[in-house]
Amino acid sequence: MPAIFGKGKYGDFQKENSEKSEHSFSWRISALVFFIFFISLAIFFKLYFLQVISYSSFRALAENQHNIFKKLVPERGEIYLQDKSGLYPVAVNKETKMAYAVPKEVNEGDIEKTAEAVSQIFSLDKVEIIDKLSKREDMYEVLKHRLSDDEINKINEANLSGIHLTSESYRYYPSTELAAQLVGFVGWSGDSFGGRYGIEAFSEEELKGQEGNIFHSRDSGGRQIMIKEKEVQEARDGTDLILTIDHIVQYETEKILKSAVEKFQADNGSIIVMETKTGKILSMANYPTFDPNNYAATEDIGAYRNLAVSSAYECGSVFKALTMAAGLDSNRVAPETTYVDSGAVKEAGYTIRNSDLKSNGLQTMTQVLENSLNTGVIFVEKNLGNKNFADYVRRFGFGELTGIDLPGEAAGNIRNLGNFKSDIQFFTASFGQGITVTPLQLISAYNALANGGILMKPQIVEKKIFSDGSEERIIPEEVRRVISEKASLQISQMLRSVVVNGHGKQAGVPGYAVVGKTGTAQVASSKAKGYEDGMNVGSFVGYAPMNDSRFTVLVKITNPKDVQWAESSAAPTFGELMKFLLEYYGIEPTEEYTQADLNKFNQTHTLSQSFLRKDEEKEKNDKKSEDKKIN
Amino acid sequence: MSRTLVIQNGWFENNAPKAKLSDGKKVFFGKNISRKRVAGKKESELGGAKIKLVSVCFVFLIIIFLSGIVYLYQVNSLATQGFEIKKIENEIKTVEKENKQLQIKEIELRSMNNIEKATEGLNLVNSSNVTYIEVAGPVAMK
Repeated sequence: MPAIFGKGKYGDFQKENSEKSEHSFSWRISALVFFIFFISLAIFFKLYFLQVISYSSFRALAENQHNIFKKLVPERGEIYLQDKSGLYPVAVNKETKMAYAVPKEVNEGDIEKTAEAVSQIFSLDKVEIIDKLSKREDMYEVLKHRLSDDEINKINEANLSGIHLTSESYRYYPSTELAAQLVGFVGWSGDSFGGRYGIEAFSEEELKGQEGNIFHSRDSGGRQIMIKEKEVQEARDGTDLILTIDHIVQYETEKILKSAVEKFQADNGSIIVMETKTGKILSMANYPTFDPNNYAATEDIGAYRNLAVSSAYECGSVFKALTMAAGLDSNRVAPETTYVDSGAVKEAGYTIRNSDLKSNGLQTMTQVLENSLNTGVIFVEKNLGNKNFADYVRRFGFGELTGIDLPGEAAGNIRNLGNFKSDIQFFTASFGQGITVTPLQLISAYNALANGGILMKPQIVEKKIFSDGSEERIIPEEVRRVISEKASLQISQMLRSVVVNGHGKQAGVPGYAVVGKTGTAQVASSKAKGYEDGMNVGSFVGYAPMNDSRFTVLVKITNPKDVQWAESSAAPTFGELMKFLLEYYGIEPTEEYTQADLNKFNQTHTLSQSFLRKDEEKEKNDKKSEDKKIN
Repeated sequence: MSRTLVIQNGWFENNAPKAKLSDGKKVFFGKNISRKRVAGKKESELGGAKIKLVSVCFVFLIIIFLSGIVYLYQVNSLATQGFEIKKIENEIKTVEKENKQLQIKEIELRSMNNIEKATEGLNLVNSSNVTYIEVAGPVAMK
């Protein structure tokens, strides 16, 4: 056999050479094979690592990239009221469309035509739209926010080039003015966007939630290293708040208040309804009010303020019940204790008279409240002593914040009770002049009378629902015992007498033992020392049913015209609202009554019937202005 | 001198690392002998180690190739499923938005303002007298 494996002279040499080269070839092949083998093994393991071991993390990372922006922006918590059928949302996040134009996409020849169509669909000024569309260098011109469904459909049908829609989310208040000051609104204040006024402002931190974050590795130049892992801290949505407010009660309260303010041509008015046993606020209304969906259109921004918590005033004779309760609790007076009413008390050069300017002779303490005698409560205050009286005033919660979860609460001013030697200050304070209190403080103090002497903290938030689904129910809080249970029963019976025999007759509801006290206070002058002429604030505070009170209600009407006393303004307003409350909650009547009583009540309490909704009011005003034009 | 390598059964049985020559001499089963013995024979009859290594590499290459195909399939499948998930997520979002819109509509309709407005045409009368009945004895009321 020739060639490599042949025998001969060179045969062995060739064979040897061949063996050597085979050996070398074999070694190189082996090395290559091993090399490929290890590379393949490395690739295999890497693939295994990527596809099997790290599968879930890479998948999560990919998903994070898709939803990254969604996860960084928290959704604002919503606010709910309650009613018998469950929850009623009062502040929600609504998604709608916004229309914008890209001027350079609109042909110059079509500007006129496009502007005409847009102005008709959006009810906007055509000239303004032409101006916007003519700005060829602008990339983006906003045409209209918060489009209605009808507008969205029409603009889509029109299919105009250069006119686009994009989604936008905003805070929406479906019941418009309902509980507007209580809930507040969301808007801009300088550079910051957030809750303004009401619960929206007070619970801003809880409602807005926590924004998410992305943590990137950065290189020496501060640039993000994209291949490095990034840590995404997801946003935490805001907490939903469920208020203690019943939306039906709130609506009826606002309805009655609006009618009362308009009927008595008052400057403004406030009503608070509190659940006696718990201190929960069932409704809190102020009028004039505003529409939080369109807050910028409000003529007087004073309407944003929740006067029920932020406006301290001299409450007048409603305070007499508290002075009397203090006297009863300290056993300085009893309901049948008598004194001689001379019609005036002289002190430090001042003469304090009764409101009716009469002297009534021998009077019991019950009669003092029935006839609202200033001299009578001065008698009680004298018996109590200045220091003791001041202590009671503080224990009732005056001069300090109640701690309600609402912004802008005022503490009132009881500094005049600091100088125990100045009797005149204490005499005037005994009938609610010379000290200022907020409607919320006043109703809380009355609620203590109704609640067996225990002062409750006013509660506005019933429950919090956190973004993880967990809930926190807020438990009603007792502040302190102010008067004994015996004193609270005695004062309740005396206040019942005020409604039956005294100035509070119009607050009575047939079939129920309603108790309460009127107050017609003078208004301190903002310009000079003393009081404003012809101005007063009518208040009525009371509760029902007397022996097992369910509701404590305060009505305050500021500067009613053509009405001299609160018994004709605040008291009937109170009566009408209390009747509604007792019927709405199905409280069983506690007293005998006749159909004639009911008919009489219905004839004299007509605020609810005279209520005009906003659209009706607008129609009425339009009709009036048309009639004027014709004439 | 001609030598014949006889491998007796006992060699396997004893598993001894040596061979016995016909003339009775014992030598170690060395590499050179083995190489001389295999020269000129068919490749398939060559040493097992070399063939196995190539086969293993070949198998590995096939595995890698197959892994590549599986990988491509998975990636493709993932991408398709990803699109599917995205599509379903978008549908969920749309339905959620619609749901929210309807909820808001429901809230608006539930507002007392609208309810009162809706009752206007019905000529309803306010109840002026509520009568409470007294239940004597254990009566089941529904």
